[in-house]
Amino acid sequence: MAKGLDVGTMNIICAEKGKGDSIAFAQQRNAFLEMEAGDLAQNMLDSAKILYTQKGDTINVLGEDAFKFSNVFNKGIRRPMKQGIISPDEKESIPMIKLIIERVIGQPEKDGEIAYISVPAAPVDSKVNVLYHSKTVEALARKLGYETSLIDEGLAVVFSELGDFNFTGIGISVGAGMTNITVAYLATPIVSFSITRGGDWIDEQVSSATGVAIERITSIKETDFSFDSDYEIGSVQGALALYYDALITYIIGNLKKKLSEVAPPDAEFPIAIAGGSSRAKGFMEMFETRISEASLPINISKVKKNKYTLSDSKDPIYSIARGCLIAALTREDAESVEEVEEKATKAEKKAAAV
Amino acid sequence: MESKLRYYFGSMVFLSGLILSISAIGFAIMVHLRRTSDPSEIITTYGLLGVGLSFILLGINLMISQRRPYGVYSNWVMIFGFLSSIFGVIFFSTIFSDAWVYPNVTYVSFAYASGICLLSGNAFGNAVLRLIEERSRQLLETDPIDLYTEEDIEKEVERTLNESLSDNTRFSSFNMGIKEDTTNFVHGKALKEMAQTKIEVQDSIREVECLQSTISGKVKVDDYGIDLTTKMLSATMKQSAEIENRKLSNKIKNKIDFIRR
Ligand SMILES: Nc1ncnc2c1ncn2[C@@H]1O[C@H](COP(=O)(O)OP(=O)(O)O)[C@@H](O)[C@H]1O
Ligand SMILES: [Mg+2]
Repeated sequence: MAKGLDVGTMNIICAEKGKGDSIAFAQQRNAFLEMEAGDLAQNMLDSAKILYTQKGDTINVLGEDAFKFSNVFNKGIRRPMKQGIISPDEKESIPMIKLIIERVIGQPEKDGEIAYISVPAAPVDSKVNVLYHSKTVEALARKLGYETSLIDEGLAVVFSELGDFNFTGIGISVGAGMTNITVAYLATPIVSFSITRGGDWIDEQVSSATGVAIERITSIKETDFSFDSDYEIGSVQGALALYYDALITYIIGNLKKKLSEVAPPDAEFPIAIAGGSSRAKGFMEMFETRISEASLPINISKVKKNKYTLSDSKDPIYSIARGCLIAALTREDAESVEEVEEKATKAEKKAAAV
Repeated sequence: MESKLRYYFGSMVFLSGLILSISAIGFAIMVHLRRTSDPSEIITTYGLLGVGLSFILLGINLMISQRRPYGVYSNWVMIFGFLSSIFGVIFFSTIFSDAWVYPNVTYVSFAYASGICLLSGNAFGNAVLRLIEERSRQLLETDPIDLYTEEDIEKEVERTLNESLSDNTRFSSFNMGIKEDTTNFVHGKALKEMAQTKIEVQDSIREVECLQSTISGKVKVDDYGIDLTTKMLSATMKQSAEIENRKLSNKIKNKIDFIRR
């Protein structure tokens, strides 16, 4: 069974085929929390089914549990890929990342099982090198026995959302630490880049503008904010709207610049948006407005609603993993066709020999 | 080693130049130098001062020397400048008072001035070059990972992963800042025993079929409203594919290889 893995700055999500016509998603936070062993009785952690590792005097609580614990104990959480990538300076976090990724992707059913992994494209506004990151993530999955391939996060969005348009269009993933953008024509990327801003950037900016703690901002943003309402100037929500707008303008500005460097074909390019930061109510409409004002050098037909916002159980953060799964399944099918054909030619040869 | 010697030598020259100049000023004060003074007093004062200034500049030049390729030219400029200024001083002391008239005065001042100009210009140029070099080195140092090739990184990742979570976690050459430690990771019970929770979403993933036909060039024209370009492109793709008479699966695989970079 093929798998698709989305290694995001906040969430690591794996998609695989479930029973019948369904997809099964496994998800963990890309985060851990360091605590002193003395604070907690180990058997308490065990009985509460908390994911952790112990090393000397430190206990590292991993993934989703780390988030819950950081609220309870009021301790800062560590997100080793906060900037979008594993950097060589974050080596001591690699064991944690490894555990979380292993947990999400699981063991392969057979050796050489195909896994497509999304990686950020090279950022336009930072000098960071994505190669170390990509190689590490790929090597982790390979160690488990997967046959891995990497695809750009934006292309994964195109695969997942723009099937009805022959995989022609613009895929945008607005995550926590990064935003990834890919313009594709018939499933082939024309332009692919990332910017190092996303939900985290909004939180930081709003926090420093209003003086409210960053955790509080994040929770207001996620639970009590929508673009449609009018907020007072000076309120947190007002600031959120302002910086969301700035982020959207920044994304579109960079897209425009990148598009001016290539000669895109004359076709209609619908836009698909995914990622946690696009969950905010009214985000799509806002994006549509700003796009129509921007006069891009290509023909934007529309901003397409994410498949996964249509019902409550579905969520735009799953799009990337889903796109990776689609790529993986396609490759798997292609290879099985090949096998069948090979068998057929062998049989023919045999028949000819007889 | 050689450059260090040169540096010390340069600082000695600089110091002696300073002493010469100061003693020249001291001498002038001592003898109450004025326009009507004895020519020998004037020659001593200005001779000492002139030689002292040349020495100071020569010393500075020696101290901020450049490596090749600029170094060679810069050395010649330095030597020529020094000789020229010293020549000016000697010429001055031989002709002063008796032949201190029109063309000679020009020769003296020209020789001396050009020497001083060469020395100070050379020193200034070298100092600027140094600054630029320093700055570019700083810029290079900010992103050490760029110095590694893709293979280096692959090897490094391999090693880090092999060693992390093994009995001794140790981190290697990319980052020496992390302290070595030899304690073991102990995994919590839930990590070993509890299965990862998954949520299932109804989804038939029709895209797989579409993606296959898109990348193999078989676009379903009837089903989807697509523009003329797409149709033409797919037609050409089909045609060329037929001409080459390649297997469908090959085409798909090639395309996928292309996509996964
Ligand atoms: N309901 C929401 N409204 C707005 N932002 C949200 C909401 N839920 C999550 N987010 C933001 O989405 C981001 C995480 O999205 P995700 O796509 O998982 O990121 P990544 O791909 O980088 O892991 C965080 O910045 C989070 O604050
Ligand atoms: Mg993501």
